[in-house]
Amino acid sequence: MSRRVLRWWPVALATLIVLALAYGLLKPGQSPVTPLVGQTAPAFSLPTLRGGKISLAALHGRPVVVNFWASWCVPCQQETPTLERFAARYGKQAAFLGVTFSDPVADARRFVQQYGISYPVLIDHRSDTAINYGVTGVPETFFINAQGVIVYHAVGPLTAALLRKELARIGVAVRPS
Amino acid sequence: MNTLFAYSLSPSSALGSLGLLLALGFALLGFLLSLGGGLSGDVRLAEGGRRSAWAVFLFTTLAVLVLEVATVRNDFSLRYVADHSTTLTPLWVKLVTLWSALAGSVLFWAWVLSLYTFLLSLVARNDVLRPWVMATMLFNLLFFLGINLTAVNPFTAMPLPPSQGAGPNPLLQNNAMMAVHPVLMYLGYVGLSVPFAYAVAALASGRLGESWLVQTRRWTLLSWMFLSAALVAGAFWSYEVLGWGGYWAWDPVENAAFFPWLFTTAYLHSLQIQERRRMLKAWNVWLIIAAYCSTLLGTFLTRSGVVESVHSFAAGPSGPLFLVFFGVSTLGGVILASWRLSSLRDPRRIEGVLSRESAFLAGNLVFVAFALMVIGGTLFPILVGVLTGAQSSVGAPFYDFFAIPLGLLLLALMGLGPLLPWNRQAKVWPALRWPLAAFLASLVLIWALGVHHLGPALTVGLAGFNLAGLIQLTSQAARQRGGIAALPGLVRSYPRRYGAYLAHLGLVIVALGLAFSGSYQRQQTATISRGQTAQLLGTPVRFLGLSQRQDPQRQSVVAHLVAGGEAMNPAIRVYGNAPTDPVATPEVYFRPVVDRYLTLLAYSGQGNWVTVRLIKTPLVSWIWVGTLILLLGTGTTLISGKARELSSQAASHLAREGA
Repeated sequence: MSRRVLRWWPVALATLIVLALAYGLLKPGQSPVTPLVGQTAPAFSLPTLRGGKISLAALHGRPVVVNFWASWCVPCQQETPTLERFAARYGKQAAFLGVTFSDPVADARRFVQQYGISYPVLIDHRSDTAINYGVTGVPETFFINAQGVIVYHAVGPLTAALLRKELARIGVAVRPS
Repeated sequence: MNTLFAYSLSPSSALGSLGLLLALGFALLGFLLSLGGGLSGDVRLAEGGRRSAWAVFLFTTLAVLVLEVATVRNDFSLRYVADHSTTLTPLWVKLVTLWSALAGSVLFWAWVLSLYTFLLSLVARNDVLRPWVMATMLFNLLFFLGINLTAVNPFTAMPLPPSQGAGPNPLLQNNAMMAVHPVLMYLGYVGLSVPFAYAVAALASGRLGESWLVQTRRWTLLSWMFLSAALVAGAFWSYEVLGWGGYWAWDPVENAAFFPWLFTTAYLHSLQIQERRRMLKAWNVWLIIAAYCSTLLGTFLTRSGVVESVHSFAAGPSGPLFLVFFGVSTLGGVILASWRLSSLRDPRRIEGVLSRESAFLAGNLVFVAFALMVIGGTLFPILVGVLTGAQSSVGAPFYDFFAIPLGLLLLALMGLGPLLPWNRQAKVWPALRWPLAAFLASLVLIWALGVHHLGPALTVGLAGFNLAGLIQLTSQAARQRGGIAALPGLVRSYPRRYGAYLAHLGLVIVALGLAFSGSYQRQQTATISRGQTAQLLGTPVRFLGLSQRQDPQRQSVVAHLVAGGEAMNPAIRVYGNAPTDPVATPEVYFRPVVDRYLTLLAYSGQGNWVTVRLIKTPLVSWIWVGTLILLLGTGTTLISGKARELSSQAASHLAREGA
């Protein structure tokens, strides 16, 4: 390549960076569309922190919220009080489940204690369930309707607005706050 | 755009918006006049542009004062005040509310920029570059004032003012560093627009002489000093407040403050090669552009939500606008430089392999490589997102992989540079003999003392190398002047040289602090019943009981413990405006050798037990002390940087060009 062309390489590089940032900024939606949305939720049967086992099949007929979290994850600490508030409020209509993700049981237990989590927390020892659900990081939350179909997959911390909207979509009668 | 003329109902809103509007008007006027002055060479136009900058500063200051007064007086007719303050907020928090959220922080940025522009209009040398410099600064101001009036307006009125505001983020009102770190950061960030304005001026006007680079040296040093202080103040804040006992997490926004620092550090050294040897002019211009554009990148990253970060402001409509500004500035600078600089050839080449300029140049390459790696790591998740659509993140292991070797290399070059002579292929062995011996001796000693991590051990060795070199250089010079008593006079005659030595000494201390605190931190968590003692990391920790403390704006639960015979009282605070967001407030005992750091993680309502984490970190205080020495050294080089240190040849060259 000639010198004349070569001298413009910084311009090309700067343009590429700007374009990449523009794409990162403007790409539609923050959550990737998971192929699982619209599909039947993968079955699981996992031990809980308090002992005992919970399986998805046993909850059939109720809407379910499955929240993958870890005690070391900062956004999880942000969302947990909100999720707990909703679980306390709508726990009769829908099942709220936490699933620990790459987290020592002792740490998870301390987190549950610290945030006063009342809904069951399941231990996913070898991350089999997380893999089945295609979880790429924490927090991620799946909203499953009474027919067992995944309606929404939230990536990142939950907000009250999002919970209200998605709970309504899986058939929970959401009261105005 | 519906907030452009937000005059309805509120005097504060009307006055603040008016101030901003007038500032914007004068910025536009000043920009056009300066541009006209630059293009036509008409002195009257240029002078008009210069004086417009004074009006811009005046009216931006008015806007800042309006917002401050409104916050202090609980004027909730401003949405910004209603969203980010309360009547119970302490006065100091109210005063810093200016920069605690997006709209106010942009106003504060605009104010700092208008301050720099104002100062520049007073002290900049009256030459052909000045109108171009003013035009560039005012163009910057146009952007910041413009978005302040539209997308992120701090003067939007509330039609029905609430009786109480929503209040500041708990983390931001929990530590006095909120009053220090952002201010230093903005002074450093915005200060880099001065050398950039000079670079644009030189490129646009085609006057690529050397005098402007030297003129910007002090501005750059000043910004660099603020930036260094801001980085460490942020680290200190993170250490003291966040409860994890660390001070640096390679967070995208920490990185965004770090890569301008790397580029600027490189520039401050290569500038000396240009002053002494008239080389690397094009390289220096590129470094200035890179440093400034990376500050804009950092601004964009914090305000767009493109990357996940603890520093992010709430994502708003300003992201695309910041991106456009970043794009315009970066592409503008890069295109100008590619166009003008390709024809530039340095009149000389580096001759000696072991000369000071080759050490400086090697250091420069390491700095730039370091910066590019950090930028790469920061932008990598976005690039992966573009190519595959997957989300990903880059963590500390990636950064440590290159930061530690490159840091050690820089430490070695930092010691080597001052020992080598400029240009000559002189015998270097006599100068290097003792420092090399000190390197080996410290390495062997620290290894024998049981430090078997390669990173910290090499850091100690290189610290010995650096110290021996600095002592040797200083004592030789003092001896030639008649002994140690001559040292003060020597410093007064050569403030740049001895200021730099002092700065290097500070960095050596910082490096030791980083190496040991990074490698030898230990922590242990335990739940302790009241009246019981637990052994944590070999220290007996006894839990005495809990107490409650009620302040107007918050409630604190304080745990009373005795750790190793010292009372320690970590707390968990709950702010009234954010009851779901408790803030752990660790108690830290700063010690010269090992810091003791206790965080309250959980407690029982009746005060029967607490869960605490004890963290012991060695030498972390050295980072803070070393930085103070670094700043002192930089300050020394700033106060009296006189041209007499230049070689007579370069000085006469400058005199010719300046005339």
